[in-house]
Amino acid sequence: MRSNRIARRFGLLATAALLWAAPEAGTAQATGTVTGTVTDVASGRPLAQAQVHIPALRRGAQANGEGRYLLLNVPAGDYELRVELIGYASGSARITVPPGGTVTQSFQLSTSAIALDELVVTATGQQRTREVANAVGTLDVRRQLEQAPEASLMTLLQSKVPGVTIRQSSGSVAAASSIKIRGNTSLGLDNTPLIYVDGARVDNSNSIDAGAGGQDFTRLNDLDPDNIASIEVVKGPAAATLYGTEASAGVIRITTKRGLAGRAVWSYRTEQGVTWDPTKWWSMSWNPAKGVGLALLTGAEPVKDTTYTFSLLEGDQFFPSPFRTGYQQSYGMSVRGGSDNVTYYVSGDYLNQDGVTRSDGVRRYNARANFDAVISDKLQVSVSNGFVSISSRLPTNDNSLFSLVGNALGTSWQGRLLRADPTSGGTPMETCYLAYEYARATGADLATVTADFCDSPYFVTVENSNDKILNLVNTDNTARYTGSLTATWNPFPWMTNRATVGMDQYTSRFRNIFPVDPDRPFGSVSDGEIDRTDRTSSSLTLEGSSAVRFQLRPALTSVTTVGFQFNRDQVDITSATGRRFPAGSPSVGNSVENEAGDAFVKVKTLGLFVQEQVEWGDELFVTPAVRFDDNSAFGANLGLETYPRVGVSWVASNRSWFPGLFDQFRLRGAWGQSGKQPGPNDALALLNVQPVAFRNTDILGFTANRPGNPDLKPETGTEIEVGFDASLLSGRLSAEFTYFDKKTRNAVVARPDALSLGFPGDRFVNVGEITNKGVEVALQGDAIRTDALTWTLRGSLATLDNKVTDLPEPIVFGSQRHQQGLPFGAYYDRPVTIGTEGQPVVAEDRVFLGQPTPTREGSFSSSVTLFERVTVFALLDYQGGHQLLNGLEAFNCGLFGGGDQFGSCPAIFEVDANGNLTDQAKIKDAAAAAGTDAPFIYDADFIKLRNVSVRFDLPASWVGRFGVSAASLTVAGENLFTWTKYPGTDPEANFAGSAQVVRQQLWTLPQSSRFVTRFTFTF
Amino acid sequence: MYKRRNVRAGGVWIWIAVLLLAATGCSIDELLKVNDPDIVTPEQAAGPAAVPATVAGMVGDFQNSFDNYAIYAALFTDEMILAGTFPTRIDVDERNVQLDPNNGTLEADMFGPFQVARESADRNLASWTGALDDPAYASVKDDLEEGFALANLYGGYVRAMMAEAYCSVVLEPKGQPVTPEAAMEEALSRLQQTQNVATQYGLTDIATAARVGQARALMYLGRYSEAAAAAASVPEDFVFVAEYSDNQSSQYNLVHAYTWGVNPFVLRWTVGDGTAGNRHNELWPYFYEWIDQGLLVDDPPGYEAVEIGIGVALQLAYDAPGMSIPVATGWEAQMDIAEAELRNGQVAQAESRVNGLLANPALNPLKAVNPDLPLAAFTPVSFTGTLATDLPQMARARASGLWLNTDRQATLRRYYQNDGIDLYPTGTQGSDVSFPIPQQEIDNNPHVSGGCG
Repeated sequence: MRSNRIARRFGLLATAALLWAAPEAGTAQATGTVTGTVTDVASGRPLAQAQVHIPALRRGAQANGEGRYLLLNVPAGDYELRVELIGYASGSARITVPPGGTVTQSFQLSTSAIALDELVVTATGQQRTREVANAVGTLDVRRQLEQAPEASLMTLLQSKVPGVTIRQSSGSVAAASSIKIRGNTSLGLDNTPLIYVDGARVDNSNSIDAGAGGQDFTRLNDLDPDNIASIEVVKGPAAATLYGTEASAGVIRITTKRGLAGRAVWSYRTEQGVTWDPTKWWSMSWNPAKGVGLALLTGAEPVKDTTYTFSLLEGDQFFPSPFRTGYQQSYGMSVRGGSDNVTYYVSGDYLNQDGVTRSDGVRRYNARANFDAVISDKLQVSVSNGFVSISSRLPTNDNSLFSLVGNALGTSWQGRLLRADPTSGGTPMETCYLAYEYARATGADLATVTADFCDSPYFVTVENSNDKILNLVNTDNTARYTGSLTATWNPFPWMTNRATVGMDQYTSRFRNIFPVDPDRPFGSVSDGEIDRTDRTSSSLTLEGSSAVRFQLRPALTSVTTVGFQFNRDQVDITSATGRRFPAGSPSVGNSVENEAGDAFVKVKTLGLFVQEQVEWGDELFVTPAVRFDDNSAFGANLGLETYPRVGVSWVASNRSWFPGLFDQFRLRGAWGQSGKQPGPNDALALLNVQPVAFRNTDILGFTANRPGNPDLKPETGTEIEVGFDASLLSGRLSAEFTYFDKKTRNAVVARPDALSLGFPGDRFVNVGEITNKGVEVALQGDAIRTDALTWTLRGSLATLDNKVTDLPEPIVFGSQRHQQGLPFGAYYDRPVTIGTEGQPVVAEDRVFLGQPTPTREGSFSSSVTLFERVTVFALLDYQGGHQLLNGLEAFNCGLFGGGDQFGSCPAIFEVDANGNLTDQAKIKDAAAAAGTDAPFIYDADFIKLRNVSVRFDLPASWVGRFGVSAASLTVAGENLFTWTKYPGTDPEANFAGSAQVVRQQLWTLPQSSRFVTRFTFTF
Repeated sequence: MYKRRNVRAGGVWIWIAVLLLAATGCSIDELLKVNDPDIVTPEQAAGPAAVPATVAGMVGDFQNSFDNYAIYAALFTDEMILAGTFPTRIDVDERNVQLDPNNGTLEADMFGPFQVARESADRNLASWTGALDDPAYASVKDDLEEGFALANLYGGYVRAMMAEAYCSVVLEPKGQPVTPEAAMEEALSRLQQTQNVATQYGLTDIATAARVGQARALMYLGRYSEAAAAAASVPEDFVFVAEYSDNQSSQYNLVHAYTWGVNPFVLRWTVGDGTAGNRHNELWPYFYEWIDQGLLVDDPPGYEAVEIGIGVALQLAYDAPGMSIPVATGWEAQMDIAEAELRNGQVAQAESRVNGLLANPALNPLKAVNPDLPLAAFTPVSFTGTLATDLPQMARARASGLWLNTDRQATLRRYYQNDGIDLYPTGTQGSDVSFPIPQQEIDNNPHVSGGCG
């Protein structure tokens, strides 16, 4: 028996080897060719990248730039041929492939937001949308860029996919934006989703401390959007189960552009744009309170004075504004083409994007080379290579002592400047605003009052302080390679094996430099200080899966997939600080004082999964699956973690009884789990290793840091989602609806314990629970669809009910907290009311005052296309149901010590028509004195005109004479207008950058506005 | 046939997966093993090789607790006033300390470091007791003996300081709070043990420091004659210090860091010059004498308080971040002896002893840690035999050499409790003479129900 088994195994191996080695031998006689074109039904435009495939053989090809596709060596026989393209309804046809002959089958596709046969990338490979039991957020990047050119992944994703929340916290172009999918899933761990690029998991660090006061650098903007073909958003644990222990915050899969068989097609694009700061700074500087400040000095009644509109941030003839018009230029060239067996896509791109100050900008070089090879009928290999060199710089702002905005707004009256005496004139002298205004108001001698008032060098209040702050350096220079190799081996028609090796490697150099300045505007660091951090990051992805498809009954098919995934993420950091170096030589080595440090992080994950998909006809899909994970960050006592899931997708419109009104209607539902591993060393008991001054020297000592927790588990996210996708009226109207309810259990929290235990650090425990519930609705309709005019309207709305449902002790962040029964990071402080006698009353107890996370998000867009030539597009973005702390007002009113003595808080002097203090003035004054933020927390609902664009496709007859096959010109505007009742600078601003919990507007640069033109042509 | 064959193939692959799972499971731990050179676990820090670093760590823990206590005691007793805006520090400045679960400053800056230092000393004492006789530790015998003596000394000192600072004292992990007097008794025991082992190992300085500590504890307990006896053999010029370093910010002398500022023009603590309003109107009682002595400078150019409008007076005693702070000194021992004499009616003897110290800057501990100080003879005391007038003079005399080293809280609280003499700052201040157990300990220690236990 044993010899029989061995013989059988050898037989199998030999058969497999033969199938691999000699695939061409038997094809000459028994195969044929399938070819044809794929075009848009309305315009007749060729649809490049349409995927044409024969499901029964699991073979396919992409249409080239002319819309032509070609399938060679197709075994003779009858087949169903399918075609799919994002944004279009799928098509299919029955074909008969003759031995040695050619069959031609062309398709004309109509646009549709719902395409159930569209291929999406999942953890087990490509699947049709109809097979996937979850809502699939797919972004056709090419189309998005045609409507609104974007320079970064974050702005590209903003307002595009329901449930994905992108929040730009600053107007600095190099600053990170926060990204969350279906709310906050973790109290203490990162809520940033996993990112995959062509199958390789990549570093998703989104809060890299820039030393710039609040805003962070991010690795998410390294990708060039122009190199991306599509983005798929896996929204929650029910969909992300097979991604395992690190996926409960969701997964974003990015697919870059690939080659198409055919002649070499060159594409060139350029973008030229301008960015500017639209803020009316004077309206929120001290000027409205000028009368107040003067009143405090002169004893006059406080009045607002809005006639004088100078602001340190807007400038005048003596004092230049720190802001400028930032220019953006971008150039890109790509070529794609290839034979039937090998295709290629190669591109190079350059972006130089300046922010609104000279210390803000991004310079990025991207290169990409993707290849696909059909080694044999049974083996295909795809290789992706992406390289980026990016240099980012951020201005010092937000809650920094050297904040550009903070200095200008915070110094108020004592900001220094050159002015002539307002009464007697003469040579301008060095004075300060307070003295100058006092002299203007009273006629006092400027020199005298200058001596009296201008003596507080708090902050950086010296002439040209803006200029000196802009000399501070916060830069990040990164060189990054991301690559992957995917091999797909189909030894039998019923089996698909797939293996991926992915790699993401970068080296970044961060520099934070205070240059030597003899004026000493920055105290001791004016003698020169440099902080440098060199970081090397390496992520390795190894994946393998094998899927076998077999028919249980004529209409019942089983697809069983088993696979594994291994990830290793490693970060090495070396840092050094130097102080007091020679002018012009910012170097650690040249410093009088210097110190160094390093850090190391490595995390490994191994996951094994099994998925069984049972298909009934092409209509009902039931997919149970389970993944087993182990991770190096788990507690020592923990074994394998198990994440199960089950999903059902039913294309009800396949039933004959279903109303004909619907072209397609699908019901879907899924339940599943995924996880979030603790921090790399959270489970371990640790000692600090630190230098100790002992016996007149410095030696290293071990001191206690924190107790360990060998039982520490990953957070477990459990989600159920149900919904439907519908397409009506021949694809003119489509709708998606999803309800989700997800819960994160075993939240990893650093929990304070008794200090008498003798550990300065907190112990990590699994204690918390968070829930996120909501609905996501997306509607798209063609209001008009004629040959001359197409008017498409899109709208989406997502709601979020977020709550911390279990947490033994609150976790406090100033006036925000995580607390059981309240939303994530709730604002919580002592309210102030007006008592019966008209006096302000500060409550003794803190109460819930609002939440920083929007409970409603929506977008509405309109796209009008005339004669297939001109497209006008507009996108409105809405967020609401949340609040924001106006930290600037709170500071100016004295809460943080800013004091009202210089008149920076007009709110507490506001009087009614009778000259009496208003209730709000009393409330804010009392709040400032009592140290509560309550009256400074405002509703932060807003609607933004996020994008407006006009695109013009130049007629082929015009451009053809230059050898150009297609050309287009787009003019687009971004962040052009905001409707909001929030009284601060920007309802999206956050002085803590992309921080997950803390949200407050304080000395933050609001979002900038932008105009950009984009010219593309193909030849 | 086709269907049957495929079913069998599917089953094979599932079995292969199961076998892979099982096979890989055997070595998953090895596959996922991570060697992180950046961290140290307790297991890695065990054994003889780790003794020197463990001793150093314990020293660091004590030194960290000591300068934290020194700076907060300075705020509490008006050696300094607050120039910053932190709410809980304002509470300390006003001697009206509130339990505030929203602000962990005091937990992190004072109670926490005390408990870390205590537990560090206690833990090491327990683990080294057996190691002293273990031949495996022979190569680190000197380190071990010094560590053992220091663990006793620090254990005693931390207990004594907590007794001076708190209204009730937690001396064990999640332990039952005890009275300050009970904590002092335990401190005395530890310090006696220190003398025994330090003497045995020939570690004279540690033994002497323990005697000064014993005198400090006995003074607090009102056992003045015993204190004098303990202090008697301490040399006049003896100085035992907490060391700090210029090299890394984590080792900076906090008294310097807070009173000089991270950036020189923004100070968090300053010496009260009596000119600011509200809670800041206190004047350091010896302000002008200290200026004359070169111990402080008023309104230095280029320096500002964090809170706008507060005048700045810069202390010069610790004018560099690496400067040591005296912990136990012959000056303090002599002051204890003099005070015992005063209380015993030996007024002239006490006056002579104190004035001898005040007239001799070379013995001043501040001069010992900062030789560049231009100290001259301080104004002599003139005792009358009436404690109500003599003890305030003693307080000034002690401060002349023990400024900003925790002694003033020990002295003022002692005078307040033992003699009914209140030398704490007045005006708009509260009535606290000690700190409460902070909220974090109350929340997590089942034996503590309130700020005073």
